[in-house]
Amino acid sequence: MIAPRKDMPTAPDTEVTDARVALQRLATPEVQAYGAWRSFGSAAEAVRAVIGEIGEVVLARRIAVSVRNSDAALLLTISNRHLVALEGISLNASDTDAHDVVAAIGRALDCAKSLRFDIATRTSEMPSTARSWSWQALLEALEAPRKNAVAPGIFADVKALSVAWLEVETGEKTGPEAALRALHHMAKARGDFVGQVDQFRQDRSHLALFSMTEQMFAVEVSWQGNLLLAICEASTREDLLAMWRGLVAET
Amino acid sequence: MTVADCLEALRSDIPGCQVAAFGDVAARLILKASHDATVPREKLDGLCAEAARCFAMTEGTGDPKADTQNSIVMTAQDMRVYVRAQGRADFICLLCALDSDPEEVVPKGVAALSQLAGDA
Repeated sequence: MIAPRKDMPTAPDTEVTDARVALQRLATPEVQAYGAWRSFGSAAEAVRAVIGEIGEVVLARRIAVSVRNSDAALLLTISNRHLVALEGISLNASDTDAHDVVAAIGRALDCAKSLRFDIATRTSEMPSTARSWSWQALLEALEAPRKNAVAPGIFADVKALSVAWLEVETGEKTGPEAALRALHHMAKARGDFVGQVDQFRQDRSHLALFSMTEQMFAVEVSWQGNLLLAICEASTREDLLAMWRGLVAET
Repeated sequence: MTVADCLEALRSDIPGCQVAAFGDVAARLILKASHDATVPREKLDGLCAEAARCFAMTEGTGDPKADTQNSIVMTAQDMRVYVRAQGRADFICLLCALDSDPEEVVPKGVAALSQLAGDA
């Protein structure tokens, strides 16, 4: 037997955060074992479990998902926490986004309250699909269902509060020349950046405020792929924030 | 105080703050972060990419005499604040609740950035 060393110091919590998190994950009991039926309170929870499974798989796997008392079954091809292929559901991979995938899984698991996950194959062969869907994108789609595609009144509201604005898709613009020059510069920088970085998804709706001077700030409103850039006076900042929170609460 | 201590203190000082991170937009990397175990690496990568986009868009459009630049991004779920010193690649990122007050959050981010820059 090896006696424990009582004089061994332990690192303070703040110094070993990453290690502590890793150990906590390792020590968590494996309640989600493969090959066992798992019950869920609702079909929505079952869909969440499927999305969660995608987030747990790093090495390439094909995971079979069976529904108790049903012929419905899904075959997920997952690698590096990305869903690479989904069999059992008809999807056109080239123009299907994360919302479509989550909706399709939801339809396939409609009324399902008990699922079984099995590793079908441990193969590194990946299908030559046009794209994949990250666990993060699927989770975001699950948590923030697609809103009505109609552009909201916030575009008009931001325009009304601004000294200059530019609608990037249509090229419509209003304001002093210098301000419009700055907005065109921002639009170009944004386009260049989005072209370089795949992680940034243009379709994510948001309101962004960028500091410029003490008197002015720039605004970017992105909604369902439509983009508005504007320059506003500092005094309008609170109004814009309240407007956005109101829009989120409504939708 | 280490970078980790500083980020822990910053996160605990802002109610509802999920992530306090220190990153580098040039390297496109979060160098150190304070968050709970539910925040995956992908989330941090996404925040870093968003910070880089915000700073790229405002490059050359702001007041060159200003000490710091900040960007506030409101999504449907949360508020992100990115702060950097003028012309520097390192930045502070804060992921906060949607109803957080930027007037309170931004100065705390600026103060933490000054502290980290002073330590560097």
